[in-house]
Amino acid sequence: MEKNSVLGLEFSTPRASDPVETCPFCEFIFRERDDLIFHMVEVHSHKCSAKTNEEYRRLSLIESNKLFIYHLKICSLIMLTMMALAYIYAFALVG
Amino acid sequence: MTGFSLFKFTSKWFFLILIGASLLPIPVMAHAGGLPLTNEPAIIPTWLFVLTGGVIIGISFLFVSLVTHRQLIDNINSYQLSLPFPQFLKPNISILQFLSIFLLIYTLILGIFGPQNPVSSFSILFVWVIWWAGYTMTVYLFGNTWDALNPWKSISILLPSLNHPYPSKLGSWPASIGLLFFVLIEVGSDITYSPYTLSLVLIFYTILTLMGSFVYGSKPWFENADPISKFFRCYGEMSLLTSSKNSIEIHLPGTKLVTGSNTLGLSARHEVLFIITILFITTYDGLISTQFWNKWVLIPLLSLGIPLLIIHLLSLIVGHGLFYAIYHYAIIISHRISGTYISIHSLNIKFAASLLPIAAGYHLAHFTGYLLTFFPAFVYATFHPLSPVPFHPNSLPHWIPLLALIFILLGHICSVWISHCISFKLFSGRLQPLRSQYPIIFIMILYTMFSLWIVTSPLAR
Ligand SMILES: [Zn+2]
Repeated sequence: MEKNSVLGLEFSTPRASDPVETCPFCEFIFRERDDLIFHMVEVHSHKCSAKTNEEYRRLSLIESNKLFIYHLKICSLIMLTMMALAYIYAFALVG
Repeated sequence: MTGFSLFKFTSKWFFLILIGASLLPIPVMAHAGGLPLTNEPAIIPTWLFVLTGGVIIGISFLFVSLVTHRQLIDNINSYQLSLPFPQFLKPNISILQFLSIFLLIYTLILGIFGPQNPVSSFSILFVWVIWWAGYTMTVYLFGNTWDALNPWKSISILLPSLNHPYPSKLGSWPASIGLLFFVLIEVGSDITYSPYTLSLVLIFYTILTLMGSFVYGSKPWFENADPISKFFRCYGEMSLLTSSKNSIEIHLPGTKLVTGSNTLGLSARHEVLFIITILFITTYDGLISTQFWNKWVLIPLLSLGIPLLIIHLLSLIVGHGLFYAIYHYAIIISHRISGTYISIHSLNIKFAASLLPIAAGYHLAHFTGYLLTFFPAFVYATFHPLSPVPFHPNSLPHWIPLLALIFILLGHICSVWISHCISFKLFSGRLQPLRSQYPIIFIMILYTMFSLWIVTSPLAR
């Protein structure tokens, strides 16, 4: 239950079997290394090594691709919802 | 890198479209009937109207989730317009403080000795129309001035104090309970229309507050335990304006909640409880005036022989607990989805700030019409404080109910944006923050639909 200096957060104590990645600059802990790399560059960008930055770029690119698919899904969901609503309106107002 | 700039570009446009799109469907709903202030026949059925509200919030989340670039989020939140504020325009605080003490005493005396008809009573109109409706609006729109104007605080500073240390264990509990108690008095007594009762409650509150500040000192009391000060401080956190030495900055709605190093400065669960209380009391007020409440809750319970006051007390406690439980449950699910090590306790505290714009939107919706209806009566009562001639409130333009709906939806959309920003502060990467928001957005959709159902439900009286 450590206090963190960045946002004043508390962390739950992970079980012994759980993977833990600790941020070297603050008390943030993560389940996955990817999240740690993201955090390090997003929060402590000026302290990161060139290697971390390189890794961040690689991970960002992978995430951007996933995000693109995610956004495509969202756009179709928006379209679908609008159409469904229009349909319901048509039935409710005509019928 | 091209992917980045593409995202930045598209998200900027989508954000603009979002604002346009979320405003588009609203005129369609203008004709929904059953609103407290209109007698227009229903053109679309209530269920469809409520559903549309939910869909608007859902879609606004979908649009907001296209904004994933941290720099862009920061740019939107820190966007501000600086206006020069000349020194000579600054009000003299001591004069205003003196005026507010004078108004308190004047209200007290007129409540007891003045006319007892609510629409010709200065006390009733001043406290409910000007202060509770109008002044509260200025707090969440322009900033918290209550710390400076609070007449009780000004009086307590002049009095001696024992300066006992304020028990940290109590936290905001006295404020939360005080606020609920205040609502209990509001719904359970004739305080909203009897100037005499209003004065009695004011005297009671004055004694309690001065005793509290006598024991614990003025500053700790008004910072922690006084429900009204805390209420205005919370609302002030989301105002559009901040003032610095010789300029005034205008922010986008609610963005003050997420700029700076911490969100709302919340540090403990009891403060979350206070925000939930603010949200709950705005809804509760509307809920108990519906026909639904009368038919399904009030009349059955009254027929069982339960006194009205107990029903109000129970429904306040149960409803408040339910609100907190739903919020907390959403946070637990969010914690599970994101797979984060940040404790549920911390998430609970950090996301609470996103509920404030909903409460403010609802307040604005609820009280704009009220303020406009009774403001002329207040002006009349100011100039004829002892005249018992009742004033006929003017009827409102037909677009006021539409405005109320827009305010409710804008409050919710603002909340969606704030919770988006909070999750981008707490979680790393771009997908994890998006997924972690699902449960919170889900309860916001439900809550919008619930609010819209309340405002379109027929009134009991
Ligand atoms: Zn860190």
